[in-house]
Amino acid sequence: MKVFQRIHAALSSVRLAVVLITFIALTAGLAACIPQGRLPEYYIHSFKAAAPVLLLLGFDHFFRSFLFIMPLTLFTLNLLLCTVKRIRRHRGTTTISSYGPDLIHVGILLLIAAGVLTLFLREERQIILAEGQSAQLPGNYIVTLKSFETLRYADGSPRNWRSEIEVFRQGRILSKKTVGVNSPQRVGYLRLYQFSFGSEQTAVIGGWGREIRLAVGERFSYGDETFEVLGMDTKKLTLTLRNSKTGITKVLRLGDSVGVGKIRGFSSRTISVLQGVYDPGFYPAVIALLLVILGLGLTFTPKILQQLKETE
Amino acid sequence: MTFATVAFAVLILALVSQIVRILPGRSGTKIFMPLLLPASTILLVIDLVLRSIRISFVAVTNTYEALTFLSAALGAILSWMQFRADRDEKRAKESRYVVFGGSLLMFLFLALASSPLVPNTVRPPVPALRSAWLVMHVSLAFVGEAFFAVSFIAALMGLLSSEPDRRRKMDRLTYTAIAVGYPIFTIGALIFGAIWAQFAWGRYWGWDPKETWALVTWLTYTLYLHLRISGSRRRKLSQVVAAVGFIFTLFTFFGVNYLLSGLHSYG
Repeated sequence: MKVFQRIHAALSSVRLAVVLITFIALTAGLAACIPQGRLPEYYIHSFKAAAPVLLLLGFDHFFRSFLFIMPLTLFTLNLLLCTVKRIRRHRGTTTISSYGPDLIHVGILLLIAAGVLTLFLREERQIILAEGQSAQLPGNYIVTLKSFETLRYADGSPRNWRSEIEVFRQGRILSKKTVGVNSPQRVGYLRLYQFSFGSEQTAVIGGWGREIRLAVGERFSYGDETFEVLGMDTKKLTLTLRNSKTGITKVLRLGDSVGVGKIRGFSSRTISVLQGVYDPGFYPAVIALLLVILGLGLTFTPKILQQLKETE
Repeated sequence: MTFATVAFAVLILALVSQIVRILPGRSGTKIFMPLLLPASTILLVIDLVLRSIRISFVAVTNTYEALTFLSAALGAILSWMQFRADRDEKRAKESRYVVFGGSLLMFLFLALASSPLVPNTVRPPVPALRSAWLVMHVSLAFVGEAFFAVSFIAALMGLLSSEPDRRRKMDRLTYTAIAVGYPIFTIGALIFGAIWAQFAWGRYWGWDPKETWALVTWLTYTLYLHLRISGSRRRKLSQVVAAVGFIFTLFTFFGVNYLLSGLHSYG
């Protein structure tokens, strides 16, 4: 029994907290100076003789390594036991400020739990759209990019990037939204962020009463024939097309025929890169942070007031 | 000539006047001397307000503006300490040393801000920085760091002093400065920073070098507070940790910006 009591006392001690905080701070600080997630060759080239040690200890993916997870788990246990011990000790205490550190501790425990939720359940997907294009999202939502614009300051530098989108479900328009930097929008369970933008080359094909623009990887159908763009060279003005029906691949030039149409030219178009994120850890993290703020207020306000009183 | 340049010149005068006041037998208050440090601080605030008007946003979005803001925050704390020291002769001497040390730090920050290492061109912020959360994140983080700067000077003076009474006073000042700075830094750097990151990039934490080093700084001050509660025998060690905490604060600000790359490279 005494052995368990000793283990419990050691695991809930401030001394262990001090050792773990020091270890986590030093190793995390070191890991932040080493680029994460590169190929082993990078570390061998950059860190020479130290590379085998770094790779063995997991410093190439430190925040998912044993050397980080293990002390963090021990720290969580230490914090949990210490908090329970403190709350038991304070039971019946009338001063609310004595619960301040407990609230901070509970907030940090909840934050670690939120981090675990994020680590295992977070979803992320990129949606790359040119104006007029659509993409299907989970929950049978369809998002169509109506327009993409760059807002600029007077000196010409970018002020914001905005994507005007329409959200459809079962053929019905549900809403029109504007996704901008710092202003994400919710579609189903995903939150859409303005992640990036760029441009891509397109071939202009027309001649049967309409005109279409196609980028590499896109297809178009005419009658029972479907054509897929396999490649494009805007310097040589050539387009590599595969006829899905016949299986024949051809390299065509500007003015050549495609079905009943013709290649009329090449141009570039702007694409918007949206990032869809689902993170079930965020709201628990917000609650955790609110607890930490409340705990900080309860802990430090009386101490600061007392210090000021003493110096009067 | 900008208001920041005038503020820098006034700060040099304030430093000279502080040296005069620290000298033995020269502790008497002169009418204009105590006003130099607040004047320098006010000039820095005016500089930031004018820049904010020019960019139509709160001017805390690049290294120059951050250094100016940090110096102004530190100047405000030191002015208040100086004001109190002039009214309490018992602790006037110690406070004046800390005010002098803090003013030297302020001088170094402003010297760095005026160096070619830090461009001071007035530019509007990039889209990701146009957020109220960013303003609260940066400004509160720097106010917290200004208190850490005071704790650093007090901790150093406590460590270097051989007089037990001065060591005790400096220990208390170190603790008070951290007790004020720690919650402000926590809320600003970590909490509001996480909320801003969620709005800007869709993730509240990403182990970016700046985020990680801000956490390391926070853990160091957390360590200080835990050393304090675990007994007075560790008072000297806790002062060493307080001093190291500010060195980490500086590394988080400058070292990460200049040596490591990440999402905060513009900061």
